[in-house]
Amino acid sequence: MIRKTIIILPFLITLSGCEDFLSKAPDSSAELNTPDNIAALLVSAYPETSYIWFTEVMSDNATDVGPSAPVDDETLRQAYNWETIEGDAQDTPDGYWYSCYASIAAANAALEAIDNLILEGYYSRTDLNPLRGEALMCRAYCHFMLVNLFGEHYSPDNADSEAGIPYVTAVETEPVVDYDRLSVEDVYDAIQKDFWEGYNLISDNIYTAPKWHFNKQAAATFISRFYLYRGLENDWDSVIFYANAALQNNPGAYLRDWLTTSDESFDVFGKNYSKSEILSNFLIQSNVSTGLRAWYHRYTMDLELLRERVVYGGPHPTQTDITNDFVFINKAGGNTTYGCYSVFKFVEEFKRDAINANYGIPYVMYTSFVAEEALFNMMEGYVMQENYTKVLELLNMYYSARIIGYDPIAHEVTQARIVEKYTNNRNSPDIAPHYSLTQDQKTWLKCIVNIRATEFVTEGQRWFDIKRMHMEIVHDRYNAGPVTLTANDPRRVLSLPEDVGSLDFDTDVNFKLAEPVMQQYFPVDYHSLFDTESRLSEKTN
Amino acid sequence: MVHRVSIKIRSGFIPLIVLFSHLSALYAVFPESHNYLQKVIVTGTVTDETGLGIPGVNIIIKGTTKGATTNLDGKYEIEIDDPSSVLIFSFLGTEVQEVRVDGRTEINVTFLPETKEIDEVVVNGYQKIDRKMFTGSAAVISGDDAQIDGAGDISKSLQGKVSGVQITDVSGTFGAAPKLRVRGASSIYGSSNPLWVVDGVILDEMVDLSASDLSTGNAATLISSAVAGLNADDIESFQILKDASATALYGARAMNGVIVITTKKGKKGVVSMNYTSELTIRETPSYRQYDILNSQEQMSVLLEMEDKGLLTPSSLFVAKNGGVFSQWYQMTDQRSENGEYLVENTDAAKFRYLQQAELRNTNWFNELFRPALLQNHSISISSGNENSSNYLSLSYYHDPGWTISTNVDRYTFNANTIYNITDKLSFGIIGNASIREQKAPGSLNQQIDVVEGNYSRDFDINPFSYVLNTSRTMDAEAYYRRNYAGFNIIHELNNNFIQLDMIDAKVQFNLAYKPVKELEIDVLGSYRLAKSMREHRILNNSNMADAYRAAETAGIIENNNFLWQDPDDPDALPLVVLGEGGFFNTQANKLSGYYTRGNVNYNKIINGIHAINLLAGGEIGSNSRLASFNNGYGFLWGSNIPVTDYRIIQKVIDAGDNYFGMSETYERQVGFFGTGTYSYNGTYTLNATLRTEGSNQMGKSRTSRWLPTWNISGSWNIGNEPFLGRADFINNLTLRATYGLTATSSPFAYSSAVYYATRTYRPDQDDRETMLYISSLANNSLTWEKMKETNIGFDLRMLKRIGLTADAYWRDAFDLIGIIRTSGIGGEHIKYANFADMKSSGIEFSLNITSVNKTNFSVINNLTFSYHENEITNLQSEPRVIDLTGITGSAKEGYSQSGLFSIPFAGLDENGFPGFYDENGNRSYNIFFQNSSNTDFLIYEGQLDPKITGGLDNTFMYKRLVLSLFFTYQAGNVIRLYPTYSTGISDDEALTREMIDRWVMPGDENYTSVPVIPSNNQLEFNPDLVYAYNAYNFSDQRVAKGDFVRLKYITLSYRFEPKTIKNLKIKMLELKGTVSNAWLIYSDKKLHGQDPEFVRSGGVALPTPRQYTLSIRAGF
Repeated sequence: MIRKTIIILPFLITLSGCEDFLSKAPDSSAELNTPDNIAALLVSAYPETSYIWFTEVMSDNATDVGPSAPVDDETLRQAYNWETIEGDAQDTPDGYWYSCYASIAAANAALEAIDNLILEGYYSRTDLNPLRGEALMCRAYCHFMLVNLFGEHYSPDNADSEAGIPYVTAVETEPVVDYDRLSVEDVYDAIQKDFWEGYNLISDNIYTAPKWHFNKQAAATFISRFYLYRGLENDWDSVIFYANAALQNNPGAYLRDWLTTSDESFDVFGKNYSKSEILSNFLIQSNVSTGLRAWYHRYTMDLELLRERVVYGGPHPTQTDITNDFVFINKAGGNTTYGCYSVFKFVEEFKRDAINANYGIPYVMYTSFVAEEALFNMMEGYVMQENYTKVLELLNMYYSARIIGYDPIAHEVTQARIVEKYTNNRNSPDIAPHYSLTQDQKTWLKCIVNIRATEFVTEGQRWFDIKRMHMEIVHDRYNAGPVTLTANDPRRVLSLPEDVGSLDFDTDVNFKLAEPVMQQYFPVDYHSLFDTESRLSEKTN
Repeated sequence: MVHRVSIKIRSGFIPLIVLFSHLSALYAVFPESHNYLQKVIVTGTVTDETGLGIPGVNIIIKGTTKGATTNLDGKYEIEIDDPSSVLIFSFLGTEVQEVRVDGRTEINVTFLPETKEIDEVVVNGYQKIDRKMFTGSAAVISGDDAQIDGAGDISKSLQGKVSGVQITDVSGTFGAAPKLRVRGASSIYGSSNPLWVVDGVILDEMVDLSASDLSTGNAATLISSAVAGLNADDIESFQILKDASATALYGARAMNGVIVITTKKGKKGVVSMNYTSELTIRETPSYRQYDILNSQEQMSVLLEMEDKGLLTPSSLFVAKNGGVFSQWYQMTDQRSENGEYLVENTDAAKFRYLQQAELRNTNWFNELFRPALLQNHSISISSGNENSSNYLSLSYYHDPGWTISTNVDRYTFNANTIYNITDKLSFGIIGNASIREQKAPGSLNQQIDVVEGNYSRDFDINPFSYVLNTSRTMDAEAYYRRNYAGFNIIHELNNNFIQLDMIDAKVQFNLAYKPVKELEIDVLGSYRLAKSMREHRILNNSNMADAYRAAETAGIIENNNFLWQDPDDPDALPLVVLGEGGFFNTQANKLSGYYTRGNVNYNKIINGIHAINLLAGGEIGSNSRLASFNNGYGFLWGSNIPVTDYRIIQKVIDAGDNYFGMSETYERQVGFFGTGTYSYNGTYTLNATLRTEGSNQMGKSRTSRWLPTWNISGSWNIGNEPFLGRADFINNLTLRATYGLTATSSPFAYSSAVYYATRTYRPDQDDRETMLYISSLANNSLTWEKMKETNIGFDLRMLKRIGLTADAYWRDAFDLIGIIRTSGIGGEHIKYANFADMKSSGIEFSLNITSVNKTNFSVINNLTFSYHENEITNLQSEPRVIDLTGITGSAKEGYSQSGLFSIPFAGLDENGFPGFYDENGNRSYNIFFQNSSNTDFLIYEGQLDPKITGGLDNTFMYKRLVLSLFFTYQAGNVIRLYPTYSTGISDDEALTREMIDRWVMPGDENYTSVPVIPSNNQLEFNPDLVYAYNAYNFSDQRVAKGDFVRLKYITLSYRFEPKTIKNLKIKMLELKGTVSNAWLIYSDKKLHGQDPEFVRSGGVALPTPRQYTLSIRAGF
């Protein structure tokens, strides 16, 4: 026995020494031990896939062209009929769900790593604040998109009883974890809490490619969208405040230049549309998407719908015929044989699996936040404050950038013209947001919502307006009767992915915090933050 | 330390030679007349053949219970009443000798081994165990028995020789590992490759390839075999450790079985030298074996295609590849220097041209294959004395190549020295090195197109694939179009090849210290460095380089992927960005590793009845692997200078690709182990092993780093029991049983979160950023893949000529890594976690019969048989249709681990188009290959791994002539046939004879299932046909059975009588002729002559040829 003990004892001693030896990572995976690596991780905190194809087809920007269309995609057919969309590939609701939560996980991992770095004492809280800010903004944004797709639209009457989505704030460490579904209100509160903290921390200076990250302007646009969607009584100030912050009080400088690009080929225009030099582009995302493959698909626009959206001046409330002067016509196109029409804004960037492979991953650079959105949000805010003078000023500024050969007199938008066109316009569905509207407000809002539909055609935004404005829309079907989505249709809420199963509904949470005072933002010195080598040596010497 | 006692389990108890010393002297002192009762004390010594005393030998006076035991020096003393008594000397319960006392007072006995049978000890890499003390399931095969002359790689030589071991020769190319399974697969997604152990040290593969990777034909398979650097002549023995007990000391890495190789050591005695020479010629394959259309039949198909509008000038001008039709139209468009057309574009000229092609019947096999003489020379020198022994060997393997683009040279060196510094301390040094230079056809990696469900390889010039794929109407000397550029296979093979260089060296020491007889302390240390470099040389005029310059017509410019599109000018025409030169692409691999181990072994025999063996120790091992690549775009061969156009680099980078890269992996292992065996009288033996193991393979987190494994086993040697008596019917019978837990570290799964870096894909380079992404989230409940195994078996020897070893096992694998689908809310929708289980079981036996045993003639038959089946009992994920129906199959709950499924074929329709039943049972042309939510509509075909494998060896010995016929067989598996069907048949493709049965006119659909060649019109109006024809390849129509019976080897050898060769001053001379891969006796007709083992994947993979070897062995 004694002999055995003698043999075993040294092994027990060496056992502890082995831990170091066995701590070697099995491959060249990265560790979140520097601000650089955390910043790199946050590059993946933006969803890899997009919602725009199914939301576009669910909206009234789509019609059923019929079997003459060369592509009859099952996903889009289901979207058009407001059925449960199957599959979890790119351009499906389930796919978007998974990529949003993957981005949230990256943000949470970054937040955890930031806390660890501070605990270890190599970096101060202030040093890492811009990264924390970005992580919080990403977390808020992804949850926001999900709750607006998979939950009922926010309404103060029932937001605390409507099921939202799980709000994830910690990194998962077990293979299977049960999550609770929060109410829409709780999710909104959590989002607000995150961006309240995050917005003031972010700094454009830390980004090497700022247009691909939550820079100040993108973040402000997002916050203005949040308040616009929430629409509580005091939210309109915030809508305007953040929209102004995004446009830096100079909306005209940021609007997209459609006027000088009319001669560009579709390829050139598409490539330029989402370039980071374009001032209008606040946030660009590189999304895996096959959406553009299906330009000539069955549930795109027919000629009639295209005309309504872009040809006859769209929603422009003017008497003047601007049929061929409205900028979108230059990028509208279609195929007369197929009867399919659309506006071509983006191009696909095909990443081959190998340099010569014939297959790979199709990417599209979608613009998630643009100056125009901030502008429209601001207009809606002013409408709610009944400051119509301001709205008219902005509206005319917008049209000066959208009508070729703009004539300030002939093309001027006036209150009278708006009232005339929108009081009883058969082409614009009735709107019924959760907040009450005067007759004037309703007319003005209908106008602005319709301009949005045109400006963001093929960008999937229209669906969210239909949802928040409780519009009733009709989808005609080829050789079959039309289907109607009523103002409060339950199909406006997407069903959770099949693999999610049923989640418990947790109402016992509280994310509410006192709103921070709006702070003037002071950028952190970029070089002092990322000069990690000298910082590390300071410590070790 | 175990005494080398000649106890031969397999061959029964052959009487030992007992020497009586001082015999004459005894007779002188005690004449026979003294015959009265008187107590006498008899003393003596029991020694082994080296004169060392054997302690613990039991001595009993026959007919009494009185006995004695030898002491540490082997001395004994016993009092007898009757000088005519008989003494029974027994060791570990085995009666080894009865000796009549005959009045003597000193009787010395020597236990002499008759011939040293490797069977009597089991070498498990950690210790040598007396077979009697060994309770696990292990098979042994001597190096000589396993040796197949003319085969370069020893791993293939075990095929069919050991029950429970499946070896599938997926590629005959030198250096490519076969698919090897010991008792089937143990993991669903992880490696199921067994562990190679050479002289106590694990020999790792340079690249870790899965079973499906081995079948890809990628250039990495050239370095996939761990043992390709070993010289078969250096191998003393193979021990295959199969069950949990046998492999228990290896712990985690041995879940898939262990193959222990012991190399030769110097022998005591005079210096001896052995020389072996093998000369091999290989048969050029013949079209008779394969059902390929001849040029006449092919031409009739081509003419039908032309009728259907598939070979029009307009389509051929923009077609990537082309054969005779394409060439004809190109010629009609070309003018010679004086401005005249090369050929007259008339019907008569065309007819003449086509008729020439129709009669051509090119034999591509003869163009690309050759019998070339393969040589292998090996020389070894062995010497030894009391203090040291030495073994040195050199070998040279030279293969000038079965095809015009392959060759191999391999050199091996091996040194093994043992010095007995004192009688308690010995020190051994082992060094091996091997150098390999190999040429292979230029090959890129296989790619899987998940969209259409295709496997493809760009620029594949594999000679074997080329022959089977290429129309015999084409001229071997002419150039045809491929990738829009001129192509001739012979020219291409000379201008586009891979040069592989590899060097692999290992140094090792062994230290053994025996402070007392019972105790031995062993320390072992080794270091290994292996490096390989693959240079893919693509010369200036190769088709692969010319493809980048093909821009003759607007149609080609538009379609040629190899041209460069300026991202800043999307409207511009694509440009050539490889003006001159070719490519110089290199791939390097490095493996470096060390391993050290120390263990203490205690051996004691008490009273000759109780035998105890204890072993405890610890080990530590580390392996680092590095793989790097560098693609040189634009290298001007000849001048040897780079002439890179910067835009080709931009093309690479814009595409999100890299032109160089590197990755490193690290494996670190620590293990502590202890094992104890107790045997009572050699009849009842009990063994227990405990091991605890640490590995870094599951990531930085400590939660799942350590794992203990254990095993208990026992055996009952019924042959020792008195009730069996000394019946001649049963010579020996041992029952064995083991139960234990083994485990292996989880593949693809880490306990801590894993972040990998990548470069974002954004069009503007200024916008690109390095991105870290979560490859997998932390998994605190991650654990090892585990398996509980029960094994029962017996070893039987009867009638002195029949030996039977049989085993049955049940394996319960749990906590296997499986794919689970989560809600995705945590950020990872599809995860690897320990959520899968698998059950497997099998029986295996080896039967050895000496059916004829005459003085001059004897016949020995050796049959091995294994049956293995497994079932996935729990797997939470549903694989996609493409995974289940593809060449490598996929695991699915309720089916075998290597299950293969098919798309249900719904027959041909009235147009001759194939249709299929989709998930709703409806007839469809388009099957969604990515579908994973509903795959129940697929037909289960069976498993890819054979259920039954084995071999039969019949050896006939007449005097000094030995003839051996060795058969291998397998059954119970299915094979996905090579995917040949597509709508886009090109006029350079060869078609199989099946095409003769194709649908031609309405009504044919009632008789045939071979689809029509769709016309151009039909293709235009049925865009789904492309998918339908591809789906046909993965339908139940395209599956064959994998069963086969093969006469693997015929060998005939003659060993000269020593006196005949005495004048030549040669001690031993043997001549041997071998026919390898002699005859595929039975295989499924649907394979059309294809080898059921070989996976035709192109790249560097070649089938195993039939070959004829003459070998000479001489000993000096």
